[in-house]
This record gives sequence, C-alpha cells and structure tokens, in this order.
Amino acid sequence: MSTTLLPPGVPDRPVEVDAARLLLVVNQFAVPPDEATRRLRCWPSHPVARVLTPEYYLQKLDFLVRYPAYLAYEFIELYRLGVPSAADADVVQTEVRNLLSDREPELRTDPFRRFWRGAYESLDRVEAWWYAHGLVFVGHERLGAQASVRRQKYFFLTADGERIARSLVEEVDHARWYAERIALIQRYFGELTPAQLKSLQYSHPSYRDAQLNEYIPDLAMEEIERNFAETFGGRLGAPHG
Amino acid sequence: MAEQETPGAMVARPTEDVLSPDALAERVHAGMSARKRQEIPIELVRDVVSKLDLVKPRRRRATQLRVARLRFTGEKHLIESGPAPIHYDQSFSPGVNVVLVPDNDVGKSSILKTIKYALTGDDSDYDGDVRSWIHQVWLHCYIDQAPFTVHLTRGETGSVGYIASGHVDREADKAQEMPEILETMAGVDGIREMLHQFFFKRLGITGLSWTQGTGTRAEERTTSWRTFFQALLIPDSSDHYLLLDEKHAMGNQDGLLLSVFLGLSLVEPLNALLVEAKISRKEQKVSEEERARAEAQIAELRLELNAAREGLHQLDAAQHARLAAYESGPSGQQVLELRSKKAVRAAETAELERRREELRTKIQRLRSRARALRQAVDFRRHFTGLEVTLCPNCDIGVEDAAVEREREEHLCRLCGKPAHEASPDESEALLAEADALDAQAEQDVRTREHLNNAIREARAELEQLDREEAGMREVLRGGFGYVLPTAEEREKRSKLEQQTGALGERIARATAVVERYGASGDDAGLRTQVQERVRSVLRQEAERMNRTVLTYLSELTEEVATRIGTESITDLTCSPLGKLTLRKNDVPVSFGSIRNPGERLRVKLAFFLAMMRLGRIEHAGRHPGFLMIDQPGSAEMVEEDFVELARILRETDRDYADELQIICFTARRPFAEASAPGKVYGPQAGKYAF
Repeated sequence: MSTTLLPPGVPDRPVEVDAARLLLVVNQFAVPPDEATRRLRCWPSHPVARVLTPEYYLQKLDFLVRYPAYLAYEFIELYRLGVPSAADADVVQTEVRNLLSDREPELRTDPFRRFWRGAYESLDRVEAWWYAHGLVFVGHERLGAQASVRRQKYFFLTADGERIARSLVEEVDHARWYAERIALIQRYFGELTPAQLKSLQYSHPSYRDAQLNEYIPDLAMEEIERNFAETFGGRLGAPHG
Repeated sequence: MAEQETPGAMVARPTEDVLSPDALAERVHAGMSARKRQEIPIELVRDVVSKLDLVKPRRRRATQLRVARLRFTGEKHLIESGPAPIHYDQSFSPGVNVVLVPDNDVGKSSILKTIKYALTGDDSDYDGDVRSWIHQVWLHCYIDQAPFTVHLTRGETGSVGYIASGHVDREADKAQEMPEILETMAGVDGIREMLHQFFFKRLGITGLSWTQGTGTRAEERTTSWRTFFQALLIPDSSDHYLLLDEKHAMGNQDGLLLSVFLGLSLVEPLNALLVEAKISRKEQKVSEEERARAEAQIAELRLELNAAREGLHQLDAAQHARLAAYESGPSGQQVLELRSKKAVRAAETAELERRREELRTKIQRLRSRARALRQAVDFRRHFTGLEVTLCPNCDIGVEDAAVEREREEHLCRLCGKPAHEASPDESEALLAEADALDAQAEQDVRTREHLNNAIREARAELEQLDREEAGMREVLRGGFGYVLPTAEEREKRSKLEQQTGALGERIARATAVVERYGASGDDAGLRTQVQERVRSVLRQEAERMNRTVLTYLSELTEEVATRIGTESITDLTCSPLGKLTLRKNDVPVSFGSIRNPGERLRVKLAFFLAMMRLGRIEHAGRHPGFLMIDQPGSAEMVEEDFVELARILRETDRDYADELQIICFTARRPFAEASAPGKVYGPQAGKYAF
C-alpha cells in the first residue's frame, strides 16, 4: 500500500486498524440518544445503542490518542486552566512524566495529516466497513433550514458494535492499549465540550501552521518542558529523542 | 613456709621465698605463647617488674603501741559556769580501760580526740569550742617497751610541740634544754608530718604506699598516719564499715591497711599493677579516641585545603586566559572574523537540528507504519468471523445466496466482483514489512544519535566562540587593565592564600597527634598486657605466701567470735589485696548487711581483736595492738547486748591484757563491768570528764 498514490486526506493504514481504533473511541464517548436525536431524519432503521456527534469531536479525540506529546501538554493545560478533572498537581505531573518517560512520543505517535480545519482524515472507508458489519451507522443531518448550514455527522453505535469493542479489548493487546489510553483521555477531557477540545489543539503554532495535507508535526520536548516548568515550577526531566 | 598447727605459735620466716625481679620477669615471659614472646620483648617485662617493690622486710613481731598517760590543760568556757581551768591527767593500763562519765556532752569523746590529736596532730574531730579550750597536751606512750612523750602546745602564734624519749612533763618552750628531745615540731602541718614520720618509723609502717589513678596519670600516694589511725579507732557502733569510712577507703586504702595489719606479702606491687593497668587502659582509650578524632579532622581539613587550592587555581587560570587574550592582541577585524565564524557555525548547527527533526519525524512514521501493519494482522485475525451483513450503499441486507456465491465462487457478496481472500502469506508479508520498517527506524535512531553528538559539539563550540568574542570585546575596551587582577580577585586570592597556609599548619598539627597517639596507644596496649600477666603471676605468689597468715586470721576471728557469741559469721577470708569476705553458712555477706548494731560491733570487735592478736605472732600481722572505742553500745543496743559486750571486754582484758590495750569511752554504767575496777576511770571535774 503506497502512500503516494492515495488522494489527500486518505490514511495509509489498513482499514481494519482505523476501524478498530475509532470503534473503541466511539464506544467510550458515545452517549444514549435523547428524544431530539431519535427524531432525526437520519436516524437509522436498525437498532441503535448510543450516539456520538459531531465528526470533528471524534477526530480531535483520535488526535489525542495518536499524539502522546500533545496529550502530555494538554494535561498541563487542563491543570493550568483549573479544569476539575486535573486539579491534583501531583497526579497530573505523574501522568505527564509517565507518558514521556516511556518514550511514547517516539514509539506511539501515529501522524495525522492536516486538512482545512486541522487534524482530519477521511473516514469514508472506516464508515463503510462499520456499516457493512453492522457496528456503527453514520447519518448526516443539517441543523437548520438554510443550505449554508453544514450538515452534522452522527455515529450510531449498535449493540453489535459494543460487543465487538468488548471482544477486541479482551482478546487483542493492541486494542487493550488503545482502550486504556482512550479511558485516560475521557478521565481528563470528558468534561469538555467538543468545541472546547478543538480550541485547545488550535493553540499550538506547530499544529496551526502545518500545511494542508502535510503531517502535523509532533510537539517539541522543549515546549512541553517549558510549559511544565512555568506551570509547576519544577523540572520535567524527560528523555529527549 | 612451715606448717603451723595452732595460732599464736611462731610463723616461719617467709622472706627467702620471695620471687626476685629477674625470676618474675622470666616466669611471666616464659608463660606467654611463642607468638606473644616475639611481640613482647622480655625487656618490656623487666621494665614493668623493675617498677615494683617486691620484697618487704618482715618484722619478727609487730611493734606494740600503748598509751600510758594523758595530760592536758587549758580553759573551758561553759555558758552555765563561765571560764574554768582544765587540768586533766589520766593514766592508762594495759588491757581494757574504761573511761566512764555517766552523762552526755560532758567531754568523754574529747578525751579520745585528744589522744588522737596527740598521736597524729589531727584536731579536726574536735568540736569548735573544745578545740579552743585545750592549750597543752602531754601524751606518754610506749612503743614496745620504749617510753616516749608527745607534747603539743597551742598558742597565739601557732602550734608547737616536741617528741621526747621517756616520759617528761616539760613545756614546749623548754624543749631545747631537754636532752631527751628527739624532735621539735612547729605549725599544724609540721606537727602532722613529724608525728607521721615518727610513728611510721617506730611502728615499722614506713613503706606503706599505694597508687591512685587521677585523670590520665597514676599518682603514688602514701597512706598517712592519720588514715592509718582510723583503723585503731572504733568511733561509733552505728557505722556500717568494717575498717575505713568511705572517705578514707578510696584507692583500696582499707584493703591496703588490712594487708599491712595482717602482714600480707606483695600487696603494694599488686595494687600498683592494678592501678597502672587501669591507667594504661585509659591511656590507650584516650589514644584511640584522640587518634580517631585527629584522623577525622585531617580528612576534613584536606577537603577544605583542596577547595582553597582549586579556588586559587581558578583565579590563576582566569588571569592567564586574559593575559593570553591580551598578548594575542585582538583587533576589530579579528572580532569580525570571529563573528563570521560564529554565524557559519550557527548555520551548520541549525541545519543539523533541522535534519534531526526530519529524522525524528521519519522515525515516527516508520514506527507508526510498522505498528499499523502488526495491528492489521491482529485485527484482521480477530475480525475473521465477523460477517458483512449490510450493503453500506443501499442499506439492504445481504442475501443468503450472495453469501453462498462468495463462499463457493469467491465473488463479493455485495458487488459480485471477484473477492480478495486474505491468505496466511499475506499476514506473513505484512509482519515482515513491519520488521523491516522497525529495522529502518532503528538505523535512523543511530543516525540521529550521531546528529545529537554533532549538535552538542557544535553548541559547545558556539559557546566557546561566544566567550572568545566577549573576551575580545573586553580586551578592546579595557586595554592592559583587562589583564590585571580586579580588586575582588585580589581580595579573594589573599583570603585563599591565608586559608591555605592555616590549613596546612592545622593538618601538620593533627598529623603529629596521630603519630603521637598511634605510638603511645600501641605502647600502652602492650604494657597493659604485660602488667596483667605480671599481676596474674604475682597473685599466685601472694596466695601461696599469705596462705598461712590468712588461715590464722580466720581461725583467730572464729575463735574470738565464738567466745563473744557472734553468730553472724561462720567464715572469714581475705584476698591478697586485703579484700575481706564474710560468710554466714557459706553465703557471702557484707558487714553492712548485719542489721543489729550490737551484732555489728561484736563482729568488728572480734575482727579487731583477731588482728591485734595476730600482730603478736612472729612474722604474722603488724597491728600495734592499740584500740579506742567511743560510745560502745549506742542507743540502738539493747540492754542485754550491752551487758554482754561488757562481759566480752572483761574476758578480753583477762586473757589478753599483756598483748593489747583497748580504751573505751562510755556513759553507760553497766560498762563498768567491762574491765577490772582499777581500770575504770570516772570524770575529773564534777560531772564533766575534764
């Protein structure tokens, strides 16, 4: 599979890899549908367990899964902003040090390509795969009468999708790692709205300044160390690549 | 030593059995192991032995002291009667004498104290008022059969006195005219010293000395006649000591006195060795502590010295650098060239960093790709049983026929085109590709490490160039002044130089301490070993030499104890250093544990009588056979015991009057039975003793 032949925004990984990882994200963050959601025109004709929306929320969460360095930085930001889930300085410092001492930025980063509005990769293949296997159905709904209003994407998780997500975690080591990481992200970021999450990531120059269709550069260790020292007043002491 | 069957008979002269210093040293050295003999030369043993006085001349029989007459004059001042002259004159006989004055605070004890004062020059026991009353004292005594007179006078100008042969009554101012004069005395200290020397010499106890450890030295002390006199006195029956009170018993003086009374051999050398050994051990400990302290101090001082020297070195290095910069004469052109060089190096560094960042990204992607391939293999394996059931395009379920067609003809159940079936080879290929990607990533990591090293070197070089440029600017600005030490540097150098000098001196002093105490500690350790071995041999000798005398003492004491009815003790033993052990039914008991005061007095009396009688035996004890007892049977003693005590003393007088003299001072009338009527004396001034 050659990356050079793929159109812009198309990931260069086998579809099963993204399908499994994103299924775990949807499974962690999807919520039971409310009445308004049930009345959507795009509500599937098949049974639905839970719902996740909008698409960029899924993309931003996936970004945190795939960029441990950014995740470490955002932990520090959550503490600095006084987000309740990151109120304990000692715990936050430990989380940051754990991420970086295991060299995760070097070993666990899956580069994301930059699209118009930040980290984005086309999910068409994944959605089709999910649909064909009855795990997650995708619907679009324009929230407003005007044609200029963009449509919002909904991910409808089925009971089969929940079951497959569970079996993945139980039987596949890679999936277990993803599930633990996604659960960590939910512990710290679960209180934020999708818009708040998006605004955090846009604050980084390297993220903001990445060129279209180029890989978003990873965060430099110096930047994390500086933020750590300014926020907690001590040295991070993490190995550099 | 010949065996003796009954006490009182002559004991064989033991002096020919005394070990000579050479024989002792050889015996001690021969008793060591071969290794020890090599470590400890016999010369050291001889040196230790040479300091001991091994041989003591033994007298045939102890010299006997007996008081014949006491006369004193003065003036007493009583509140109820005003001043009254004192004329006390009392003769005493051999055997038991009783001064019976039936009242308290009438001067009985003052008579005892006057006898003591006359014999020792010690008037510290007097009550303050009584001391001032007594002006002149004459004491007539016998030392063996030789008569002597001691006269003391207190005057406004001080105390004077004389010792004369015979019994004379002249006053001190007539002493120069007397042919009988042996010694004249003046001053309190002079009187004490003269009496000390006279009685020590006459009673044959001039050699009595002992050593006491003080601090880190051993001081030789001589037991004074005043201390010795304590053992000729039983001051009060309420006391809990046998021979000497705590104040006088220090340094084992009570043991030494007892050993002298008993004529024990080798007491002084054993005691001297004991004290010397204690001092040696103390010296060794002090040596070790001092040496350890000095060594620790040296280590600390060396650290400080090294730090100070490093400080001086840094000052020198900085100045040399400035001088070198000045001598090389930088110009503005050189500064520009240096800056150009810096810019080039900075650009190179930036390029290296860019390449490193690129490499980092590449490594990330390689690893990400490898991981994705491995995940694909695992996820596909996991999804093997997961069926496609819906068409994502039209949302219609897949027909069974389409599923069957896919299975048998390998046509996609959704679009009908040939379906791709994953094979095991495909998984293997993915894993192999993943391995290749990881291998490439590792190689890129090694390349990145080279870049890291190059970047570090480049940064270090840039920093050096920065410093050079800063130095050049300083030189251009400051001229030669740039080279010279600043005021701050001069001050710092001066302090460091002084510190270095002082530290060197302190290290030298501490090193000298280590050397001194190292040597002395080793010497002290060997000397202590030799002393302990010599002492062990001497102890064996002493036990052998003293066995007969101690047996006699025990037998005499038991005999007297039986006669005077003392059930407290059944056995009495004595160590070579005069340590007494009393036993009751084979159980060791202490004198102080005897609760009944009357019983204690009887035990003490039995013991003293035994010692005094031993002194009358040839080559046995050396007690002078004189004893004073003040207030025998104090208030605690019950009447029956008191009467019994009087009877004991009466029998003692009957049986041993020619061997000893005991003078009792009492207020209790039943004690008149303690001696023959002619030897019971009453008050000489009304109700007052004097």
